[in-house]
This record gives sequence, structure tokens and C-alpha cells, in this order.
Amino acid sequence: MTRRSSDSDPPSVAAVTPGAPPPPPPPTLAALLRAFGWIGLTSLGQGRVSYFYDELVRKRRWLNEREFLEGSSISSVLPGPNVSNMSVYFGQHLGGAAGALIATAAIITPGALSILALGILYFHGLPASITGPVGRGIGAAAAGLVAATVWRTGAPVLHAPRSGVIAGLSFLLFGVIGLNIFLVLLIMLPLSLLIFRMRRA
Amino acid sequence: MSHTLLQLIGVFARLSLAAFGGGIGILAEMERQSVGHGWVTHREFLDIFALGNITPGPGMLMVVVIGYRAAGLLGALVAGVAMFLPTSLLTWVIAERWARIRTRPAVAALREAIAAVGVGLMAAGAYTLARIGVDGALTGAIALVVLLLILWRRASPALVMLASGCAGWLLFR
Repeated sequence: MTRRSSDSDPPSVAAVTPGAPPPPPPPTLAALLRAFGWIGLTSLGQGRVSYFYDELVRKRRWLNEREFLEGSSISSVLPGPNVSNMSVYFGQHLGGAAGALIATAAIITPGALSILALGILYFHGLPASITGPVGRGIGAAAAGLVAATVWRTGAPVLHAPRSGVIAGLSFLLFGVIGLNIFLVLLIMLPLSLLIFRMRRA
Repeated sequence: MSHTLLQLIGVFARLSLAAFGGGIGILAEMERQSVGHGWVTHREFLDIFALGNITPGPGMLMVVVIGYRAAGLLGALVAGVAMFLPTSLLTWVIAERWARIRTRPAVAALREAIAAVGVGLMAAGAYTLARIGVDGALTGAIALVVLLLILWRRASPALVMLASGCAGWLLFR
């Protein structure tokens, strides 16, 4: 089932910029194939979450920042590679079961073929000294890329100071202290609910 | 089905289902298993991991190359399916259920919490990438230029990463 996601948002959480044009109609399966195929073809380096953001939120406006964060968080908490989980989640969100299938196939196939081709070359003598320097440049760039996405998605969500505190604590627990993601959620979700409730009361 | 193919399925499906919070957490165990089964050497494992950085799509597609080394093209296919199919099905079941309840008013506060926590989790991801990828002034400069280009010039991630790969080739050769 496809639907315009922002229609279903209660007004309190919908991040609608005043004066912005209305979101486009729900994507067709062909449009999903084009969007996810583009991510599948171009998403070099770690930090592939940024390619999803750029394509689905910024360029096509199929999702707002909150919906995007919802999907990326759920995908990283569930077991399995984050990138395939994100394509399943966002594909399902935008185009139902067929959308999930198309999105995931489009994300995985180009990369599978290209890494297999490079792998075969590698085992036939392609020296790693060729790929190493390129990977170093891309590895450094990935940090900047994801930092930019944190900034972009964070800005509409963190305008409330309490959300900023929650995000900052989650960062500390998961990134700096290195707690298991379940422990982070076990601590942060009840705490956030408590904080949001207090605000409403 | 040959013994090696069954082993590939067992190892990679189990690792995938244990990968909470993304693939990075299972890398050490994947290295131990892949080297232990004699599929690749330690050096090859590191080189294959690096290939995942310069090809598009999930980094965990590296298992395709390990499967290829262990059992040829069929091994590549089997390893890929084992890594991606079980967890994708699981995610689909959860996403489908979540889609049905996420618009209920009672869930609104939870979604707000998830979004805020999600910013923190992604920031942690950026921090981890910086610790791995930034090891000096040159790599730091690349990361900073990318950040600025994306934020202020609204540059396309694909172009920026391609340019960074070229910069890496020129600077670190």
C-alpha cells in the first residue's frame, strides 16, 4: 500500500516548513526503482545513510526528516546490514511489499556485481596498492558526509532543547562510551518518553 | 549441496542475524570465521574489506568475494543470500507491522523519541567513521571539505565521494 506519508502524520510531529510547496504524490514502483537504483549505483564508501537522505528527503521529498530518522533508527537497531535494512524499510514505507523488494534488489545488485568483479581481479593479481589510496580518500570523506547528514536531519528535530539533550546523551552512550545498541535504547527510549511526557503535562 | 556452501550459509546467516547496530560490530568475528575455515587469509580479508569501501551498495557485500574465493560463483551467490535474505525478511515483517501502528496517536511520543535518539546514533556513526578514516591533516582536510561542500554547496554525495577517491589516489599513492 502506498500513501503520502506526511498526510498521516499528526500535526504535532510533522516537520512542515512554512511556505514550502506541498509534498509530491506517492512514488510509483518505477520511480522507486530509479531512486533506489541511483543509490545502489553511486553509494561509495561507508556512510551510505547520507545517500538515502539525499535522494529520498532532499531531492524527491518523499519523506520528511523525522520520518527519515525513524526509518534509519529502526533499520540500525534491527539485526543485519544497515543499508539493506534501510532499503527494505523505506521501500516498504513508500511502496509496500513490492516497493521493499524493488528497493532492496536495486540497492544490492549493482554493488554485488562490482565488488565481485573487483574481487575476481584482486585474486588474479590486481594489487591492493591501487585500491588502497582511493579507499583512504573515500574513508575520510565518509566522516564528513555523515556529519553533514547529522546536521541536516538534526536541525528540524533538535530545535527543542530537550531533543538536543536526548540526541547528545545517545551519542555519548553509543559513540563515545561504546555501549551495546540495546542498552542505549533501554536507557534512552524510556528517558525520552518521560521527558516528552513532562513537556506535554 | 557441498559442505563448503553449507558452511558459508551457516556462518554468514548467523553473523548477519547477530549484527545489531550494523555490520561493523561483526567484522572481527567474520574475520575469525573466514580465516578459520581457510576461505581467505587475514591479509586478503583486509583487502576485501577495503574493496567494499570503493564499490557502491552495502559494505557487507564483501561476503560475496569471500564466498567466491571459497566456492566460486555459486559460493558468491550463496554467501550474499545468506548475509542479506534472512535479515531483510525480518526487517520487512517489522516494517510492515510498524507501518500499521505508527500513525496511532499513542505512538506519537515514541516516534518523537526515536527521531531524537536517531540523531544521536547517526552522530555516533559519523564519530566512528572519523576515528577510522581521519588519521592526519590531509584526511582531516578531506573530511572537512566534504562536510562544507555538502552543507553549503548542496553538492551531490556521489560526486563528492568520487572526487575524494581521486584525491586519495593523488595524495596517498
